[in-house]
Amino acid sequence: MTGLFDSLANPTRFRTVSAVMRPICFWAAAILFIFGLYLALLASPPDYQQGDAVRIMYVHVPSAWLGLSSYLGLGLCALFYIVWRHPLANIAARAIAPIGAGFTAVTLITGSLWGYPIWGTWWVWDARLTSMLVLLFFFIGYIALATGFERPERGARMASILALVGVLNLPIVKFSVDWWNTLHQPASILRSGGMAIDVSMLWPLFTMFAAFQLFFIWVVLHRMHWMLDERRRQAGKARTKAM
Amino acid sequence: MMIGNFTLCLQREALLGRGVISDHLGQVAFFVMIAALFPLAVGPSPDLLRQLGPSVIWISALLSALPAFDRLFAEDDQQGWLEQVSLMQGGLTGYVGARLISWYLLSVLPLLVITPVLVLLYNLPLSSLKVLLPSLAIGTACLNLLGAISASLTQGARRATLLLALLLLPLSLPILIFGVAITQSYLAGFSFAGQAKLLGAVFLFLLAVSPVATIAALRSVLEDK
Repeated sequence: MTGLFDSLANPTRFRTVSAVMRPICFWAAAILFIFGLYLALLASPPDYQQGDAVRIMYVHVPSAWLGLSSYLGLGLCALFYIVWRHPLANIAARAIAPIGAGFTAVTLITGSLWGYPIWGTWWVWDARLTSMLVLLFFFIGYIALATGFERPERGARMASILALVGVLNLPIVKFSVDWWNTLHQPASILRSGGMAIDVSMLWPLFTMFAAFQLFFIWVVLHRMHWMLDERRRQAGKARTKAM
Repeated sequence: MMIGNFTLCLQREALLGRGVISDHLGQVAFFVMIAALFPLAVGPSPDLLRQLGPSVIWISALLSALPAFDRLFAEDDQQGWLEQVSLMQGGLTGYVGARLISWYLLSVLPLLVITPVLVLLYNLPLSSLKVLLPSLAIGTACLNLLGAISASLTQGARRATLLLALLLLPLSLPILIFGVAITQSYLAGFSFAGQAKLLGAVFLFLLAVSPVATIAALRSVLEDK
């Protein structure tokens, strides 16, 4: 594991690996997305209570998972950056942050679109929704701190500390539906006692999740690539100025 | 050794405290003013005000604490005291402890003293004070611990005050939720033990996390010198 991390932590080797991985992720995501949309919108049955409104789930749930897991990724990168001071970890964290914020925002928006026909309200201040909103604020706070200093390294360190503090919010989001009585339904996939969802809905959900995940990896690799290029350009500029 | 550093810092805070007490009194004035805005905005109906009272007092406490936090470490950073104290035995740990204790006493005690007046202004029963005051004391302690994290993270940033508010307000949501719920359950005649335990848990949790994060952030501040 450490060996793998060490070898990928070299920016040049990272470039080579990511250059292979990016097109694979992109095309796999595109194909899975089309297939998943077909399954979710046409092939899967409507819910016996919610009717066709249940199809929002195929966007809402994968983006919620990704919002949470990308914050976990952000926290891990922040830890690597704080402890080992590896610049690539910082670049990865900065690449993840806006994407994770986007998925979290999509979760909140689709959730509210789903809530209106089913609950009769766009928003309730229950624990799951509030903790998800706090997650979005953590992403925004990370971005604001990372760009808020004259010296980028300092911003990176401060933002990493904030990201680590924010990791504590993740279990609250995950277990908020178990700890408090909320309007939001409890977990139906990752729960003790097995899954509470039919296979006909599970497959489209997992397909969409795989598509979202691959899309996420593709965008993050793309952004990291772009940031590495940018850094190289800045370094080149500084060198010519010095000469 | 850490204790020696800690008491030294406490003595220093006590000496400096007299000089900054007027700043903190300004904070209390701000607290009362925010609370006075609500009746003007929502109308003077006593029933409505009694319902809103606990929430207004908590929001006022939260907002009035906000603008002060960017001074928490700023002067000690600019005057070189942070660097000085980090070289002493015990380092920043004793300093952060002493600083937070003195900050808490200076900012919260006046606020607790003035709170009974607000309770009267909002037609709340005086008996609610025996719930409101302890919960405010713990809630503002949580707020100060969060403020220490936010202030140390934004120390030296561009638009530090704005950034600080952006970090602190979402973090303080649980404190606000549990804090208000305690007084409201009491007023409604329900048991408030559950919320009180949750607020206590938040406090203990922050007591463990906040100094670590604050010291890490202050180290980063010093590294750039």
